[in-house]
Amino acid sequence: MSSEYEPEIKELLFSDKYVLKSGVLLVEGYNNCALYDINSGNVYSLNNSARNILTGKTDNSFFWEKLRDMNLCTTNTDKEKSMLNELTYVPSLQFAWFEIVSKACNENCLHCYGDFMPPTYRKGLDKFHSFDNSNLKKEEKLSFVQWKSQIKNVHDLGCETCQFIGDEPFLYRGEKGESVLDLAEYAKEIGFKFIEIFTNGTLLTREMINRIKDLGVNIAISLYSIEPEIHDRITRTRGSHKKTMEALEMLKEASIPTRVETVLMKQNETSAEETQRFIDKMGFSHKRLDVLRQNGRGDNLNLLPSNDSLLKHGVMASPNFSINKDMLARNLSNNSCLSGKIAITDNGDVLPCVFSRDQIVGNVLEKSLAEIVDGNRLIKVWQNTKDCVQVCKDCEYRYCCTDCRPSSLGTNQNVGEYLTAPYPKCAYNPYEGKWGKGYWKLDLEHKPIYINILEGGEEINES
Amino acid sequence: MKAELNLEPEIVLVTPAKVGGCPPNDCPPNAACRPNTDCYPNNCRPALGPCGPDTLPCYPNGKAPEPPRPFPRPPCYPG
Repeated sequence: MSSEYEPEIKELLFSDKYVLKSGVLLVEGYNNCALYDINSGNVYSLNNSARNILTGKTDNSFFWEKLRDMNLCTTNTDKEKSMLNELTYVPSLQFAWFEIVSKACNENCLHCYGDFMPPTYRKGLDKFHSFDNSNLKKEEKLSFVQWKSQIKNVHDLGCETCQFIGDEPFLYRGEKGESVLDLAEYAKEIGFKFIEIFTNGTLLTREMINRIKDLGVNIAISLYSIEPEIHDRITRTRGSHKKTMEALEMLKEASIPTRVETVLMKQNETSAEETQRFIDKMGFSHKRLDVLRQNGRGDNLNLLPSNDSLLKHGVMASPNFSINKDMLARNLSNNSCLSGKIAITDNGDVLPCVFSRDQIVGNVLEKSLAEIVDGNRLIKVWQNTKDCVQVCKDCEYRYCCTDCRPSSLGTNQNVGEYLTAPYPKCAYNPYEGKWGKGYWKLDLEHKPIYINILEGGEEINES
Repeated sequence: MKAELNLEPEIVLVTPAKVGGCPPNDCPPNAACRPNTDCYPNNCRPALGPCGPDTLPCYPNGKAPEPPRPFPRPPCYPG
Protein backbone atom coordinates (compact mmCIF):
# COMPACT_ATOMS: atom_id res chain seq x y z
CA MET A 1 0.00 0.00 0.00
CA SER A 2 1.20 3.46 -0.79
CA SER A 3 2.65 5.45 2.08
CA GLU A 4 1.04 8.65 0.78
CA TYR A 5 -2.45 7.27 1.44
CA GLU A 6 -4.11 8.46 4.61
CA PRO A 7 -7.77 7.79 5.26
CA GLU A 8 -9.51 11.11 5.61
CA ILE A 9 -12.85 12.80 5.65
CA LYS A 10 -13.13 16.26 4.10
CA GLU A 11 -15.80 18.89 3.70
CA LEU A 12 -16.38 22.27 2.06
CA LEU A 13 -14.07 21.35 -0.82
CA PHE A 14 -14.14 24.07 -3.45
CA SER A 15 -13.15 25.23 -6.89
CA ASP A 16 -12.87 28.81 -8.05
CA LYS A 17 -16.64 28.94 -8.44
CA TYR A 18 -18.24 26.13 -6.41
CA VAL A 19 -18.12 24.70 -2.93
CA LEU A 20 -19.52 21.43 -1.65
CA LYS A 21 -22.69 22.05 0.31
CA SER A 22 -22.73 21.79 4.08
CA GLY A 23 -23.23 18.15 4.95
CA VAL A 24 -21.65 16.82 1.76
CA LEU A 25 -18.50 15.05 2.86
CA LEU A 26 -15.72 13.37 0.95
CA VAL A 27 -14.51 10.14 2.54
CA GLU A 28 -11.25 8.87 1.17
CA GLY A 29 -10.65 5.23 0.38
CA TYR A 30 -7.51 3.54 -0.85
CA ASN A 31 -8.50 3.48 -4.51
CA ASN A 32 -11.78 5.35 -4.77
CA CYS A 33 -13.60 7.75 -2.52
CA ALA A 34 -17.20 8.46 -1.60
CA LEU A 35 -19.39 11.49 -1.12
CA TYR A 36 -21.75 11.25 1.82
CA ASP A 37 -24.70 13.63 1.53
CA ILE A 38 -26.27 13.74 4.98
CA ASN A 39 -28.88 16.17 3.69
CA SER A 40 -30.45 13.68 1.29
CA GLY A 41 -29.16 10.41 2.78
CA ASN A 42 -27.41 9.52 -0.46
CA VAL A 43 -23.94 8.08 -0.83
CA TYR A 44 -21.97 8.33 -4.08
CA SER A 45 -18.94 6.44 -5.34
CA LEU A 46 -16.23 8.56 -6.98
CA ASN A 47 -13.21 7.39 -8.90
CA ASN A 48 -9.76 8.79 -8.48
CA SER A 49 -10.16 11.35 -11.28
CA ALA A 50 -13.19 12.77 -9.52
CA ARG A 51 -11.29 12.82 -6.24
CA ASN A 52 -8.49 14.83 -7.87
CA ILE A 53 -10.99 17.39 -9.10
CA LEU A 54 -12.64 17.75 -5.70
CA THR A 55 -9.33 18.07 -3.88
CA GLY A 56 -8.08 20.69 -6.33
CA LYS A 57 -5.38 18.58 -7.93
CA THR A 58 -6.99 18.94 -11.33
CA ASP A 59 -9.46 21.40 -12.73
CA ASN A 60 -12.71 20.38 -14.38
CA SER A 61 -15.57 22.86 -14.35
CA PHE A 62 -17.89 20.41 -16.14
CA PHE A 63 -17.64 17.98 -13.26
CA TRP A 64 -18.39 20.71 -10.72
CA GLU A 65 -21.41 21.69 -12.80
CA LYS A 66 -22.54 18.10 -12.73
CA LEU A 67 -22.27 18.14 -8.93
CA ARG A 68 -24.25 21.36 -8.89
CA ASP A 69 -26.99 19.72 -10.95
CA MET A 70 -27.03 16.88 -8.41
CA ASN A 71 -27.50 19.43 -5.63
CA LEU A 72 -24.16 18.56 -4.08
CA CYS A 73 -22.39 21.88 -4.51
CA THR A 74 -23.31 25.55 -4.72
CA THR A 75 -21.92 28.87 -5.79
CA ASN A 76 -22.71 30.35 -2.38
CA THR A 77 -19.15 29.85 -1.30
CA ASP A 78 -19.45 32.10 1.77
CA LYS A 79 -22.61 30.63 3.23
CA GLU A 80 -21.71 26.98 3.62
CA LYS A 81 -20.62 26.05 7.12
CA SER A 82 -18.71 23.18 8.63
CA MET A 83 -20.79 20.19 9.60
CA LEU A 84 -18.01 17.99 10.89
CA ASN A 85 -17.86 19.95 14.14
CA GLU A 86 -21.51 19.16 14.78
CA LEU A 87 -21.02 15.44 14.38
CA THR A 88 -20.65 14.61 18.02
CA TYR A 89 -21.86 11.41 19.59
CA VAL A 90 -21.83 10.49 23.24
CA PRO A 91 -22.26 6.74 23.68
CA SER A 92 -24.74 5.60 26.26
CA LEU A 93 -26.40 2.34 27.12
CA GLN A 94 -29.20 1.69 24.63
CA PHE A 95 -29.87 -2.03 24.65
CA ALA A 96 -29.31 -4.89 27.07
CA TRP A 97 -29.56 -8.62 26.74
CA PHE A 98 -30.48 -10.31 29.98
CA GLU A 99 -29.17 -13.85 29.57
CA ILE A 100 -31.04 -15.20 32.54
CA VAL A 101 -30.26 -18.85 31.86
CA SER A 102 -26.81 -19.89 30.74
CA LYS A 103 -25.70 -23.46 30.17
CA ALA A 104 -29.19 -24.90 30.24
CA CYS A 105 -31.39 -25.36 27.24
CA ASN A 106 -34.05 -27.86 26.32
CA GLU A 107 -32.69 -28.01 22.79
CA ASN A 108 -29.20 -28.86 21.65
CA CYS A 109 -28.81 -26.94 18.39
CA LEU A 110 -26.03 -27.89 16.04
CA HIS A 111 -24.85 -24.32 15.64
CA CYS A 112 -25.35 -22.84 19.12
CA TYR A 113 -23.04 -19.86 19.62
CA GLY A 114 -22.91 -20.44 23.35
CA ASP A 115 -22.43 -24.21 23.27
CA PHE A 116 -25.69 -24.46 25.21
CA MET A 117 -27.40 -27.81 25.76
CA PRO A 118 -29.60 -29.64 28.23
CA PRO A 119 -27.80 -29.98 31.58
CA THR A 120 -28.06 -33.77 31.47
CA TYR A 121 -26.11 -33.79 28.20
CA ARG A 122 -23.44 -31.53 29.68
CA LYS A 123 -23.07 -33.72 32.76
CA GLY A 124 -22.52 -36.67 30.49
CA LEU A 125 -19.94 -34.78 28.44
CA ASP A 126 -18.03 -33.65 31.54
CA LYS A 127 -17.93 -37.26 32.69
CA PHE A 128 -16.85 -38.42 29.26
CA HIS A 129 -14.00 -35.92 29.18
CA SER A 130 -13.12 -36.58 32.84
CA PHE A 131 -13.20 -32.83 33.34
CA ASP A 132 -11.81 -31.98 36.75
CA ASN A 133 -13.46 -28.80 37.94
CA SER A 134 -12.66 -29.23 41.60
CA ASN A 135 -10.24 -26.30 41.54
CA LEU A 136 -12.66 -23.92 39.90
CA LYS A 137 -14.67 -21.42 41.89
CA LYS A 138 -18.27 -22.56 42.17
CA GLU A 139 -20.10 -20.48 39.64
CA GLU A 140 -22.42 -18.08 41.34
CA LYS A 141 -25.75 -17.31 39.67
CA LEU A 142 -27.69 -14.10 39.98
CA SER A 143 -30.68 -14.54 42.24
CA PHE A 144 -34.12 -13.24 41.30
CA VAL A 145 -33.55 -10.22 43.53
CA GLN A 146 -30.15 -9.62 41.96
CA TRP A 147 -31.64 -9.84 38.48
CA LYS A 148 -34.23 -7.24 39.43
CA SER A 149 -31.47 -5.06 40.76
CA GLN A 150 -29.48 -5.37 37.52
CA ILE A 151 -32.54 -4.67 35.40
CA LYS A 152 -33.07 -1.53 37.47
CA ASN A 153 -29.40 -0.59 37.11
CA VAL A 154 -29.64 -0.93 33.34
CA HIS A 155 -32.74 1.26 33.26
CA ASP A 156 -31.12 3.82 35.57
CA LEU A 157 -28.34 4.15 33.01
CA GLY A 158 -30.91 5.35 30.49
CA CYS A 159 -31.58 2.10 28.66
CA GLU A 160 -35.19 1.41 27.71
CA THR A 161 -34.93 -1.56 25.38
CA CYS A 162 -34.01 -5.07 26.40
CA GLN A 163 -34.25 -8.68 25.46
CA PHE A 164 -34.49 -11.67 27.77
CA ILE A 165 -32.59 -14.56 26.34
CA GLY A 166 -30.95 -17.81 27.38
CA ASP A 167 -30.18 -20.64 26.50
CA GLU A 168 -33.95 -21.01 26.86
CA PRO A 169 -35.31 -18.16 29.01
CA PHE A 170 -38.53 -19.99 29.88
CA LEU A 171 -36.37 -22.49 31.79
CA TYR A 172 -35.49 -19.74 34.26
CA ARG A 173 -36.70 -20.27 37.80
CA GLY A 174 -35.99 -17.88 40.66
CA GLU A 175 -35.61 -19.01 44.25
CA LYS A 176 -39.36 -18.93 44.72
CA GLY A 177 -40.22 -20.29 41.32
CA GLU A 178 -40.30 -16.92 39.57
CA SER A 179 -40.17 -17.01 35.76
CA VAL A 180 -38.90 -14.86 32.94
CA LEU A 181 -42.34 -13.28 32.82
CA ASP A 182 -41.93 -12.05 36.39
CA LEU A 183 -38.68 -10.37 35.37
CA ALA A 184 -40.30 -8.96 32.23
CA GLU A 185 -43.16 -7.62 34.34
CA TYR A 186 -40.68 -5.90 36.60
CA ALA A 187 -38.87 -4.40 33.60
CA LYS A 188 -42.20 -3.10 32.35
CA GLU A 189 -43.07 -1.64 35.75
CA ILE A 190 -39.87 0.37 36.00
CA GLY A 191 -40.27 1.83 32.53
CA PHE A 192 -38.65 -0.26 29.82
CA LYS A 193 -40.33 0.76 26.57
CA PHE A 194 -39.49 -2.33 24.55
CA ILE A 195 -39.10 -5.80 26.00
CA GLU A 196 -38.55 -8.90 23.93
CA ILE A 197 -38.14 -12.53 24.93
CA PHE A 198 -36.11 -14.68 22.57
CA THR A 199 -37.24 -18.27 22.92
CA ASN A 200 -37.54 -21.50 21.01
CA GLY A 201 -41.21 -21.41 21.97
CA THR A 202 -41.40 -25.05 22.98
CA LEU A 203 -42.31 -24.32 26.60
CA LEU A 204 -45.00 -21.73 25.91
CA THR A 205 -48.44 -22.48 27.28
CA ARG A 206 -51.72 -20.70 26.70
CA GLU A 207 -51.55 -19.29 30.20
CA MET A 208 -48.12 -17.81 29.47
CA ILE A 209 -49.37 -16.41 26.17
CA ASN A 210 -52.20 -14.63 27.99
CA ARG A 211 -49.76 -13.10 30.42
CA ILE A 212 -47.38 -12.08 27.63
CA LYS A 213 -50.31 -10.35 25.95
CA ASP A 214 -51.27 -8.55 29.15
CA LEU A 215 -47.70 -7.44 29.74
CA GLY A 216 -47.27 -6.09 26.20
CA VAL A 217 -44.05 -8.02 25.73
CA ASN A 218 -42.69 -8.96 22.31
CA ILE A 219 -41.57 -12.44 21.36
CA ALA A 220 -38.81 -13.62 19.05
CA ILE A 221 -38.64 -17.25 18.00
CA SER A 222 -36.16 -19.32 16.03
CA LEU A 223 -37.62 -21.44 13.25
CA TYR A 224 -34.97 -23.25 11.28
CA SER A 225 -37.18 -24.83 8.70
CA ILE A 226 -40.75 -25.34 7.64
CA GLU A 227 -39.73 -28.99 7.25
CA PRO A 228 -40.10 -30.74 10.64
CA GLU A 229 -37.26 -33.17 9.98
CA ILE A 230 -34.81 -30.40 9.12
CA HIS A 231 -35.78 -28.27 12.10
CA ASP A 232 -35.54 -31.21 14.50
CA ARG A 233 -32.23 -32.28 13.02
CA ILE A 234 -30.83 -28.80 13.70
CA THR A 235 -32.21 -28.58 17.23
CA ARG A 236 -31.29 -32.23 17.75
CA THR A 237 -34.55 -32.49 19.63
CA ARG A 238 -37.28 -34.74 18.33
CA GLY A 239 -40.67 -33.03 18.27
CA SER A 240 -39.25 -29.53 18.68
CA HIS A 241 -40.70 -28.35 15.36
CA LYS A 242 -44.19 -29.41 16.38
CA LYS A 243 -43.94 -27.55 19.67
CA THR A 244 -42.50 -24.41 18.08
CA MET A 245 -45.26 -24.42 15.48
CA GLU A 246 -47.90 -24.79 18.19
CA ALA A 247 -46.38 -21.79 19.96
CA LEU A 248 -46.50 -19.77 16.74
CA GLU A 249 -50.17 -20.61 16.29
CA MET A 250 -50.94 -19.43 19.82
CA LEU A 251 -48.91 -16.24 19.36
CA LYS A 252 -50.72 -15.52 16.11
CA GLU A 253 -54.09 -16.16 17.65
CA ALA A 254 -53.27 -13.77 20.50
CA SER A 255 -51.85 -11.13 18.09
CA ILE A 256 -48.66 -10.90 20.09
CA PRO A 257 -45.93 -8.97 18.22
CA THR A 258 -43.62 -11.77 17.18
CA ARG A 259 -40.68 -12.01 14.91
CA VAL A 260 -39.50 -15.36 13.63
CA GLU A 261 -35.88 -15.68 12.67
CA THR A 262 -34.00 -18.27 10.68
CA VAL A 263 -30.28 -18.92 10.90
CA LEU A 264 -29.01 -20.12 7.55
CA MET A 265 -26.69 -23.10 7.54
CA LYS A 266 -25.94 -26.01 5.26
CA GLN A 267 -28.59 -28.18 6.91
CA ASN A 268 -31.53 -25.87 6.11
CA GLU A 269 -30.46 -23.99 3.00
CA THR A 270 -32.76 -25.94 0.71
CA SER A 271 -35.85 -24.91 2.66
CA ALA A 272 -34.75 -21.57 4.13
CA GLU A 273 -36.43 -19.31 1.59
CA GLU A 274 -39.62 -21.31 1.73
CA THR A 275 -39.50 -20.99 5.51
CA GLN A 276 -39.32 -17.23 5.21
CA ARG A 277 -42.27 -17.19 2.85
CA PHE A 278 -44.19 -19.26 5.40
CA ILE A 279 -43.30 -16.76 8.14
CA ASP A 280 -44.53 -13.93 5.90
CA LYS A 281 -47.73 -15.79 5.20
CA MET A 282 -48.36 -16.25 8.90
CA GLY A 283 -48.05 -12.49 9.31
CA PHE A 284 -44.96 -12.52 11.52
CA SER A 285 -42.06 -10.19 10.99
CA HIS A 286 -38.54 -11.39 10.32
CA LYS A 287 -35.17 -10.21 9.23
CA ARG A 288 -33.45 -11.64 6.23
CA LEU A 289 -31.80 -15.00 6.63
CA ASP A 290 -29.06 -14.72 9.21
CA VAL A 291 -26.04 -16.62 7.99
CA LEU A 292 -24.43 -18.82 10.61
CA ARG A 293 -21.78 -17.15 12.73
CA GLN A 294 -18.75 -19.32 13.34
CA ASN A 295 -18.93 -18.95 17.10
CA GLY A 296 -19.37 -21.68 19.70
CA ARG A 297 -20.65 -24.86 18.05
CA GLY A 298 -21.20 -22.76 14.94
CA ASP A 299 -17.45 -23.00 14.39
CA ASN A 300 -17.90 -26.14 12.37
CA LEU A 301 -17.17 -26.37 8.66
CA ASN A 302 -19.90 -28.99 8.27
CA LEU A 303 -22.48 -26.31 9.04
CA LEU A 304 -21.31 -23.67 6.59
CA PRO A 305 -23.82 -22.90 3.84
CA SER A 306 -22.84 -23.56 0.25
CA ASN A 307 -20.93 -20.96 -1.72
CA ASP A 308 -24.08 -20.06 -3.64
CA SER A 309 -25.97 -19.44 -0.41
CA LEU A 310 -23.08 -17.46 1.01
CA LEU A 311 -23.00 -15.27 -2.07
CA LYS A 312 -26.74 -14.77 -2.02
CA HIS A 313 -27.27 -14.23 1.68
CA GLY A 314 -23.94 -13.90 3.41
CA VAL A 315 -22.09 -11.05 1.77
CA MET A 316 -22.93 -7.60 0.55
CA ALA A 317 -22.20 -8.17 -3.11
CA SER A 318 -23.09 -4.74 -4.47
CA PRO A 319 -23.13 -1.28 -2.89
CA ASN A 320 -26.15 -0.52 -0.80
CA PHE A 321 -25.47 2.40 1.47
CA SER A 322 -27.18 5.40 2.91
CA ILE A 323 -26.29 7.90 5.55
CA ASN A 324 -27.74 10.43 7.93
CA LYS A 325 -26.26 12.87 10.38
CA ASP A 326 -26.79 10.73 13.49
CA MET A 327 -25.47 7.60 11.85
CA LEU A 328 -22.37 9.39 10.62
CA ALA A 329 -21.73 10.98 14.02
CA ARG A 330 -22.02 7.58 15.63
CA ASN A 331 -19.87 5.72 13.11
CA LEU A 332 -17.09 8.30 13.17
CA SER A 333 -16.45 7.62 16.83
CA ASN A 334 -18.17 4.34 17.71
CA ASN A 335 -18.77 0.83 16.49
CA SER A 336 -21.85 0.77 14.28
CA CYS A 337 -23.25 -2.33 15.95
CA LEU A 338 -21.75 -2.77 19.41
CA SER A 339 -21.87 0.75 20.77
CA GLY A 340 -24.52 1.15 23.45
CA LYS A 341 -25.09 -2.56 24.02
CA ILE A 342 -24.30 -5.01 26.76
CA ALA A 343 -25.24 -8.55 27.68
CA ILE A 344 -25.43 -9.70 31.29
CA THR A 345 -25.14 -13.45 31.77
CA ASP A 346 -26.61 -15.47 34.62
CA ASN A 347 -23.32 -15.47 36.53
CA GLY A 348 -23.06 -11.68 36.30
CA ASP A 349 -20.53 -11.48 33.48
CA VAL A 350 -20.97 -8.49 31.21
CA LEU A 351 -20.28 -9.02 27.51
CA PRO A 352 -20.42 -6.54 24.63
CA CYS A 353 -22.64 -8.97 22.71
CA VAL A 354 -24.18 -12.37 23.39
CA PHE A 355 -22.11 -13.80 20.55
CA SER A 356 -18.86 -12.51 22.10
CA ARG A 357 -18.56 -15.16 24.80
CA ASP A 358 -14.91 -14.59 25.62
CA GLN A 359 -14.97 -10.79 25.67
CA ILE A 360 -15.94 -10.34 29.31
CA VAL A 361 -15.69 -6.66 30.28
CA GLY A 362 -16.64 -7.06 33.94
CA ASN A 363 -18.89 -8.85 36.39
CA VAL A 364 -21.77 -7.19 38.21
CA LEU A 365 -21.13 -9.30 41.30
CA GLU A 366 -17.68 -7.74 41.59
CA LYS A 367 -18.27 -4.22 40.32
CA SER A 368 -21.22 -1.91 39.82
CA LEU A 369 -22.80 -1.93 36.38
CA ALA A 370 -22.22 1.83 36.10
CA GLU A 371 -18.50 1.28 36.65
CA ILE A 372 -18.41 -1.47 34.04
CA VAL A 373 -20.30 0.61 31.50
CA ASP A 374 -17.93 3.52 32.11
CA GLY A 375 -14.92 1.25 32.21
CA ASN A 376 -12.13 1.21 29.66
CA ARG A 377 -12.74 -2.37 28.58
CA LEU A 378 -16.28 -1.76 27.38
CA ILE A 379 -15.61 1.73 26.07
CA LYS A 380 -12.75 0.36 23.98
CA VAL A 381 -15.17 -2.06 22.33
CA TRP A 382 -17.91 0.55 21.88
CA GLN A 383 -15.45 2.98 20.32
CA ASN A 384 -13.96 0.45 17.95
CA THR A 385 -14.69 2.14 14.64
CA LYS A 386 -14.06 0.76 11.18
CA ASP A 387 -10.85 2.78 11.23
CA CYS A 388 -9.52 0.01 13.50
CA VAL A 389 -10.64 -2.87 11.31
CA GLN A 390 -8.27 -4.39 8.77
CA VAL A 391 -9.31 -3.70 5.17
CA CYS A 392 -12.36 -1.67 6.24
CA LYS A 393 -10.04 1.10 7.41
CA ASP A 394 -9.06 1.62 3.76
CA CYS A 395 -12.63 1.65 2.45
CA GLU A 396 -14.52 4.80 1.55
CA TYR A 397 -17.78 3.29 2.83
CA ARG A 398 -16.45 2.66 6.33
CA TYR A 399 -18.65 5.30 7.98
CA CYS A 400 -21.89 4.28 6.28
CA CYS A 401 -21.38 0.55 6.56
CA THR A 402 -21.89 -1.84 9.41
CA ASP A 403 -19.86 -4.28 11.38
CA CYS A 404 -20.01 -7.51 13.31
CA ARG A 405 -17.06 -8.27 15.54
CA PRO A 406 -18.24 -11.78 16.51
CA SER A 407 -18.59 -12.74 12.83
CA SER A 408 -15.19 -11.23 12.07
CA LEU A 409 -13.52 -13.15 14.86
CA GLY A 410 -15.43 -16.33 14.02
CA THR A 411 -14.22 -16.28 10.42
CA ASN A 412 -10.67 -15.57 11.53
CA GLN A 413 -10.28 -18.10 14.33
CA ASN A 414 -6.73 -18.29 15.66
CA VAL A 415 -5.39 -15.58 13.37
CA GLY A 416 -7.56 -12.53 14.05
CA GLU A 417 -8.08 -10.14 16.92
CA TYR A 418 -11.55 -9.28 18.12
CA LEU A 419 -11.23 -5.56 17.44
CA THR A 420 -9.33 -5.67 14.17
CA ALA A 421 -10.19 -8.84 12.22
CA PRO A 422 -11.58 -8.05 8.75
CA TYR A 423 -15.33 -8.03 8.32
CA PRO A 424 -16.29 -11.14 6.33
CA LYS A 425 -19.67 -10.06 5.01
CA CYS A 426 -18.59 -7.64 2.34
CA ALA A 427 -17.43 -8.39 -1.21
CA TYR A 428 -15.83 -5.00 -1.87
CA ASN A 429 -12.14 -4.68 -2.59
CA PRO A 430 -11.17 -1.12 -1.61
CA TYR A 431 -7.65 -1.59 -2.97
CA GLU A 432 -9.02 -2.05 -6.47
CA GLY A 433 -12.28 -0.17 -6.04
CA LYS A 434 -14.23 -3.18 -7.29
CA TRP A 435 -17.07 -5.34 -6.07
CA GLY A 436 -16.22 -9.02 -6.40
CA LYS A 437 -17.79 -12.27 -5.37
CA GLY A 438 -15.95 -13.01 -2.20
CA TYR A 439 -14.92 -11.73 1.18
CA TRP A 440 -11.88 -10.85 3.24
CA LYS A 441 -10.17 -12.97 5.82
CA LEU A 442 -6.71 -13.33 7.33
CA ASP A 443 -4.15 -15.84 6.13
CA LEU A 444 -1.91 -17.80 8.46
CA GLU A 445 0.53 -14.88 8.56
CA HIS A 446 -2.32 -12.65 9.72
CA LYS A 447 -2.43 -10.75 6.44
CA PRO A 448 -5.76 -9.95 4.77
CA ILE A 449 -6.54 -11.94 1.66
CA TYR A 450 -9.57 -11.80 -0.60
CA ILE A 451 -11.34 -15.13 -0.91
CA ASN A 452 -13.18 -15.32 -4.20
CA ILE A 453 -16.27 -17.48 -3.99
CA LEU A 454 -16.95 -18.77 -7.43
CA GLU A 455 -20.52 -19.76 -7.86
CA GLY A 456 -20.75 -23.42 -7.04
CA GLY A 457 -16.98 -23.57 -7.08
CA GLU A 458 -13.91 -23.20 -4.98
CA GLU A 459 -12.34 -20.47 -2.94
CA ILE A 460 -9.39 -18.80 -4.55
CA ASN A 461 -6.94 -16.47 -2.93
CA GLU A 462 -6.75 -13.40 -5.14
CA SER A 463 -4.27 -11.35 -3.14
CA MET B 1 -3.31 5.58 -4.15
CA LYS B 2 -3.25 3.77 -7.40
CA ALA B 3 -2.33 5.69 -10.52
CA GLU B 4 -5.45 6.35 -12.51
CA LEU B 5 -4.48 8.33 -15.55
CA ASN B 6 -6.73 9.90 -18.14
CA LEU B 7 -9.91 8.44 -16.70
CA GLU B 8 -13.10 10.40 -16.91
CA PRO B 9 -14.32 11.52 -13.49
CA GLU B 10 -17.16 9.33 -12.35
CA ILE B 11 -19.80 9.77 -9.72
CA VAL B 12 -22.24 6.93 -9.12
CA LEU B 13 -25.12 6.85 -6.66
CA VAL B 14 -24.78 3.79 -4.42
CA THR B 15 -27.94 4.38 -2.42
CA PRO B 16 -30.80 2.35 -3.85
CA ALA B 17 -33.78 4.59 -4.40
CA LYS B 18 -36.11 2.47 -2.29
CA VAL B 19 -33.90 2.41 0.75
CA GLY B 20 -32.90 6.04 1.01
CA GLY B 21 -32.47 6.63 4.72
CA CYS B 22 -32.58 2.92 5.51
CA PRO B 23 -29.05 2.06 6.52
CA PRO B 24 -27.70 -1.40 6.00
CA ASN B 25 -26.76 -3.53 8.90
CA ASP B 26 -24.77 -6.57 9.62
CA CYS B 27 -27.66 -8.91 9.77
CA PRO B 28 -28.01 -9.23 6.96
CA PRO B 29 -26.39 -7.37 4.07
CA ASN B 30 -28.04 -6.27 0.88
CA ALA B 31 -31.18 -5.03 2.55
CA ALA B 32 -33.61 -3.59 0.11
CA CYS B 33 -37.14 -2.59 0.91
CA ARG B 34 -39.81 -4.29 -1.09
CA PRO B 35 -43.13 -2.71 -1.93
CA ASN B 36 -45.49 -2.62 1.01
CA THR B 37 -42.72 -3.02 3.51
CA ASP B 38 -41.51 -0.64 6.12
CA CYS B 39 -37.97 0.55 6.10
CA TYR B 40 -36.33 -0.74 9.21
CA PRO B 41 -32.74 0.11 10.00
CA ASN B 42 -31.34 -3.20 8.99
CA ASN B 43 -33.99 -4.79 6.88
CA CYS B 44 -37.51 -4.57 5.61
CA ARG B 45 -40.53 -6.07 7.17
CA PRO B 46 -44.19 -6.22 6.23
CA ALA B 47 -45.85 -2.87 6.68
CA LEU B 48 -47.62 -3.34 9.96
CA GLY B 49 -47.91 0.23 11.10
CA PRO B 50 -45.55 3.02 11.98
CA CYS B 51 -42.04 1.79 12.48
CA GLY B 52 -40.57 2.09 15.90
CA PRO B 53 -37.36 4.04 15.90
CA ASP B 54 -34.08 2.33 15.36
CA THR B 55 -33.82 -0.78 17.45
CA LEU B 56 -37.55 -1.25 17.69
CA PRO B 57 -39.66 -3.19 15.26
CA CYS B 58 -42.91 -2.09 13.77
CA TYR B 59 -45.94 -2.64 15.91
CA PRO B 60 -49.01 -4.29 14.52
CA ASN B 61 -51.15 -1.96 16.57
CA GLY B 62 -49.36 0.99 15.05
CA LYS B 63 -48.02 2.24 18.32
CA ALA B 64 -44.55 3.58 17.86
CA PRO B 65 -42.33 3.91 20.93
CA GLU B 66 -40.75 7.22 21.81
CA PRO B 67 -37.63 8.20 19.88
CA PRO B 68 -34.43 7.12 21.56
CA ARG B 69 -31.54 9.30 22.49
CA PRO B 70 -28.55 9.36 20.15
CA PHE B 71 -29.17 7.15 17.20
CA PRO B 72 -28.59 3.52 18.10
CA ARG B 73 -27.80 1.14 15.30
CA PRO B 74 -30.01 -1.89 15.28
CA PRO B 75 -28.98 -4.81 17.40
CA CYS B 76 -27.85 -8.02 15.85
CA TYR B 77 -30.29 -10.28 17.52
CA PRO B 78 -29.16 -13.82 17.78
CA GLY B 79 -31.37 -16.18 15.95
